[in-house]
Amino acid sequence: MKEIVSFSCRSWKLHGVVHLPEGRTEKRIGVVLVHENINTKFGTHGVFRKLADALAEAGFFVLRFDDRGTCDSEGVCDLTFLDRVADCRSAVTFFRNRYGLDSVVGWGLCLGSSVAVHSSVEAGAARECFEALVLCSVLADSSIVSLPQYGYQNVNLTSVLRGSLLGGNLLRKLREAPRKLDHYRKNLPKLARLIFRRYTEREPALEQLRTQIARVGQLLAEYQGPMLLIFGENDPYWKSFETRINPNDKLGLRLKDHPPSLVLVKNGDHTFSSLEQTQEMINASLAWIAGFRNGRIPELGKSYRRIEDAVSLAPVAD
Amino acid sequence: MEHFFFGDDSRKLFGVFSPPSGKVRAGLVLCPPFGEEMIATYARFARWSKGLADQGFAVLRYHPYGTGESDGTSADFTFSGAAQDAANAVEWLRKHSGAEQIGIFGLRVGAAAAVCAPATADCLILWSPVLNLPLYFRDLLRLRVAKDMVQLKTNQVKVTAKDLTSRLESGHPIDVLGYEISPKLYRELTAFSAWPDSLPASRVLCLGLPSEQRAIEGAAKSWSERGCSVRTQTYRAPVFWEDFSSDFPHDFAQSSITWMDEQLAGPPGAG
Repeated sequence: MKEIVSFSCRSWKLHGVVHLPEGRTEKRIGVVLVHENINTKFGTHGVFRKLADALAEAGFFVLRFDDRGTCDSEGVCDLTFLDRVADCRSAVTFFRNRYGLDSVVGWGLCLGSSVAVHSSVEAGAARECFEALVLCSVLADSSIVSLPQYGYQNVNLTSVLRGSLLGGNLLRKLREAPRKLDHYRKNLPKLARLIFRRYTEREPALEQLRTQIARVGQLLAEYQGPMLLIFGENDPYWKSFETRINPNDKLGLRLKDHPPSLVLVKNGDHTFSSLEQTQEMINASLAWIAGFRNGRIPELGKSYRRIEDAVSLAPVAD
Repeated sequence: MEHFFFGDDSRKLFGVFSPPSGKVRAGLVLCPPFGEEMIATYARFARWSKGLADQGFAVLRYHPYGTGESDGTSADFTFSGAAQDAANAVEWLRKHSGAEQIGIFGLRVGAAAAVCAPATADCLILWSPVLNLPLYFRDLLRLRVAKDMVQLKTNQVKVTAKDLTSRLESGHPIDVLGYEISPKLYRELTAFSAWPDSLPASRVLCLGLPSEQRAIEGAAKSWSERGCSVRTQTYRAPVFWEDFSSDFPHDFAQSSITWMDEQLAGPPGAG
């Protein structure tokens, strides 16, 4: 069952949907889904809607919401990262109070994961904090951040060059180049224009975003609660996390009181954009959050490549 | 703004109503595109609808059955269903907005559904309508195959568009970028050959990109033969429904508002 809700953050009125759990539950656990970019609360290929339905069926309260001045929320706002963090904290407070929740788990995708970490670690009050985090495709690399005015394309010249020249198998790239000529012809001029714009026009929102994303790695290390990281194994964000953000566990995640669990979805991409990937991501989220509710973080199924307790946060063989 | 579910209990649709500020000039139902095009354009068209409300239009956005917040899953989305949902949205707006005249706005497949809606309205505004539904469906299949080619190594791509079609032909759904596409949607789109004898409105504005000009003129001719007064126009603009960006076709928007003023409402303060 779903309820349409609204709550405030400062003078903004935000719109959300709450999924109520099926049946009575001993512990009242809520999950706030924090979406990626400036996007809808139901998400690309309805991923948040599907996850919320599954969580409610498993006995959790779930809140999805649109940020201030976007989509179905009131007004119009050129949203910044810090606006999103403030909205997220208000959402947690509202959700906890309205539904009398014992604890609230934050679940984020991409930029939404970064928002969830920021809002929890730097929250002013306990009621604004997440007691646990599930972070999918977390954006922690400031060199790849972008904004809608750049079509969310990577407009950092160094990073683009690094990705196109040094990333991946160069031989394979050369072999496939003829097939991709049309793609390059169509997209390169546009990308060049966007990069030119990024370096010639001042864009404070992008600078703010870069600064805040650059802190995500450290905040992951500081966060005290249990945490699950989920990546698609083909997601460039996973590669970036593994090689740039936390090589050799630079952040010391394995030394934490609650070392994070890690799930790599086989053949998975950034938004888990197939029915199979989506189901795997949902299963992993469900199993882990159910374990959190029961006071025992579970081992995840054999279908995942997994590293229990994030020993190295590097991929292991099947 | 009002958020609500409307329609039959067996087919609840999610709607967002932006009431006009001041006296209502006209009502407008916004029919969204399908799939990732709906997601990519959602924030921009929500923003536009808020702007239209500020200009005196009563705007209803809704999610067709099987999409967004409405009941059902993507496997339940059908073209005929989307057309019926557009008609139901028109009815809701007529009943609740106080607007004497109602327009239907559609983007891409939403525009095609608007043309086929069993509704009565005062005008149709179509932006880059999908005019060749079988081709649109083939493009959906190509999208799936292209995505596999990008995500997987070339030698791991085992599914072809032909395989996907065979699966649909044998009555099984397929997965296109996380959307479950039903055999019924496949049959409806691939078998589509003619527009209905009667359109929901006799006044039509059809806008598109220069690359769509020929197809738009063809459709306009066909609609004119059905007694409609059709105005067409093309503008240079990005393919705004494909990218997750803030690009908005302001020329399309300005042209649409000017045309609505001529056809329906008159400019603010008129009448």
